[in-house]
Amino acid sequence: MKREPAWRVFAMEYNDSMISMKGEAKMAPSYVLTPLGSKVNRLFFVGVLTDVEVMSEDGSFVRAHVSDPTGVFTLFSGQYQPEMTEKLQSFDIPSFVAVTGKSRSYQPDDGDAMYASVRPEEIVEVNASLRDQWILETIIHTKNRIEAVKEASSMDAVTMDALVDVGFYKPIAEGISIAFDQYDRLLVEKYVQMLQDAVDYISMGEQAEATTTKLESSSSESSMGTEPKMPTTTVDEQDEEAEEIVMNVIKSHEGEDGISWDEITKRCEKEGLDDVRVDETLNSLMDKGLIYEPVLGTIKTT
Amino acid sequence: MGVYLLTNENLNQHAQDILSRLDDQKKKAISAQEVAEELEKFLEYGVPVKQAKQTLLKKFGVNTSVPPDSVERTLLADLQPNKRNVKLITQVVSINPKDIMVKGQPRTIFTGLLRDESGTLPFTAWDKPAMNEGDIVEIANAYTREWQGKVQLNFGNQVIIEQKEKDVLPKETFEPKKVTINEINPLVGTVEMTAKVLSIEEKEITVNQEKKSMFTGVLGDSTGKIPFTAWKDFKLSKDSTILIKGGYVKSFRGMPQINLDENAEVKKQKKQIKESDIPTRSLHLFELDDNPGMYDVAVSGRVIEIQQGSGIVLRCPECNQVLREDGCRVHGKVDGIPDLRIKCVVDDGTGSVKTVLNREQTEKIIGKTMDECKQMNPEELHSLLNESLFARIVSMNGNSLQDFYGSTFLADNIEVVNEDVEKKVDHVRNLLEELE
Repeated sequence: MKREPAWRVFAMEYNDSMISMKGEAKMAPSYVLTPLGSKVNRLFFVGVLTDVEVMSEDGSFVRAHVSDPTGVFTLFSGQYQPEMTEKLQSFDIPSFVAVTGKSRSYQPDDGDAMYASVRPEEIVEVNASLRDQWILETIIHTKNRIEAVKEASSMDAVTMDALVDVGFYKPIAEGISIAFDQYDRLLVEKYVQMLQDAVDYISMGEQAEATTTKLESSSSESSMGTEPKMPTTTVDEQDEEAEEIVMNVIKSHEGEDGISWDEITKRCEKEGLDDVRVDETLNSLMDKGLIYEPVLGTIKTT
Repeated sequence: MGVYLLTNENLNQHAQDILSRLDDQKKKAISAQEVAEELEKFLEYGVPVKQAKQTLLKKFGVNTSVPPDSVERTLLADLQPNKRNVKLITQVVSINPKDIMVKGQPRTIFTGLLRDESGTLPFTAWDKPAMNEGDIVEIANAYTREWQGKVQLNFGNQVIIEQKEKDVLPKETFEPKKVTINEINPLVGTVEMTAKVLSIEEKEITVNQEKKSMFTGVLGDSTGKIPFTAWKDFKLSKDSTILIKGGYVKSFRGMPQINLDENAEVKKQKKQIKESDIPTRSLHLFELDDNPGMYDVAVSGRVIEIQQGSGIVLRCPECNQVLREDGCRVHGKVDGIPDLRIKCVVDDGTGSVKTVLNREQTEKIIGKTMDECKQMNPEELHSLLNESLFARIVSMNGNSLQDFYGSTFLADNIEVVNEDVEKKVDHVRNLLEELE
């Protein structure tokens, strides 16, 4: 019995997943299959813990969010792991955390949306350098998957063996052989851009750090210098961030006929925006002429 | 209702027939008279003789579907999945016990490798089959399954194994396969290879109350390293380069090894393999899962879990096993000797491996001595372990082993790697240009 590897995926790729898989055997592991063919049962990420919310009156069920440069991971921990549920509530907000967790997915009965979340197995406070290392490592892993998807596009039949033969790692080849026919291939360009943004994000952080570390004494405080988009930011920057999240949601999910207002709200809530905020942001984007409402309640990019 | 009554003579004949196909134990437990009576009961009810005999044979635990003699031999290369009553004539290349869990219960099964003139194939036997390494055997009533697109050969309780002479198989069956070390796996059988003796050590063993010398060591070529055992004195010396013909591969504690016995030929080579050309193989962690055991390899990954049983533990003074709450599993209540260790999972995103850091390695990584750790409460110590190691990259050299629960790494050395983010940003930026 093989232990499931902990995939390195960014929140955007993970949250874009629309497919879950489960083996037929009783104890068979379940997977979230991402658009780039990560077949995720376990994942490992480092990011900023932005909020922890108790969801049940007795405190036995909590939701938390961990942000990376591309999006937000949603974590749920419940009564079956009381120690983890309690531990989650003990962190300072915000702080850098490293998380090993199991993939979870939820598909509401109405519609074909899927929500991927994480059940944390371990969460530990770490420093900014480890967060940066994780981003760089995850860029490389994601790049390998993008290349494999591109390679697959030129194949007559996309199989694991064919991808292994041209040099891709078996776990990636396996995932892509399943995901390839089920996702829109155009998404790949979006992830190329995501990686570019992620590497720019670190460079920005490095510059910020160079100017701020001199002023700060302890290393845990200086770590905030690498976090230009986090809660120390100004209102303007927060607006910008919200706009970016909302635009990303619309762009990646609008079909021929646009995307419904409700679905935008649902998806943005997952990224940590509340409904009031989403409404404000949609209005502001319409004012800027970036989106419009072809039919009442439906949004489309211009 | 037609009734098929037989004369007593015929009845006894059939009863003897049935008896002759039972194994010895069953034969003792039942008399010809009893068999005849049971048979007669069926016949009185109009069951045809053939069916009645089959029914009784089944009742006595004999596979009746096809009598073994009427089945044609299949070559290993021609075996199809999901066949019953498979008959083979092969040599046993290796056979090893394997501990597995079945429905939560430990159980020992036997796995190994067979070969004939068409190739090799692994087998799985649920009970110890009556055959040893090197034997030439005829195997009847085996069955096959399909597993991940490959044919699996299984021996159930119906299997019949019969010893044969070597000449029933054509000569080419026994020709070794030319390999390099990275191509060696437990399925490869006998091999021909050129390698350098990197180390060798003589050991005295006692076989049938007779003292014998055996030799163990490590071989290397330009693709990697592998341990070996020589069961006779081939006059090997360290640093010599040798050509081996007819060594065979066998797993020892999950690690493939070259075995040299009296069937092997060893020749010294003039052309030397340089030690600097012998690499320590660097592997991704998923590759460990695909191999039963790897000797002297390098891996790295992040620590994604520090497991229960890390920190201060007590060991049994008799057997060195870590004590459980109620004492030692073997020696009961004992005064434990304290030790410090970290059990953790290392993962590189493609696969994972469990490893254990010993006291010395742990002290170095957390910057505290065991005595200092003893003063801390267990939660405090666990936090310190997490702080020092969780999410960090470690690189290790050593051997990997595989068991039912996945891969374990026995690290000769382990180091925490501090990455230079600034340098890596530039590297990653260049990499991304490849995507344009």
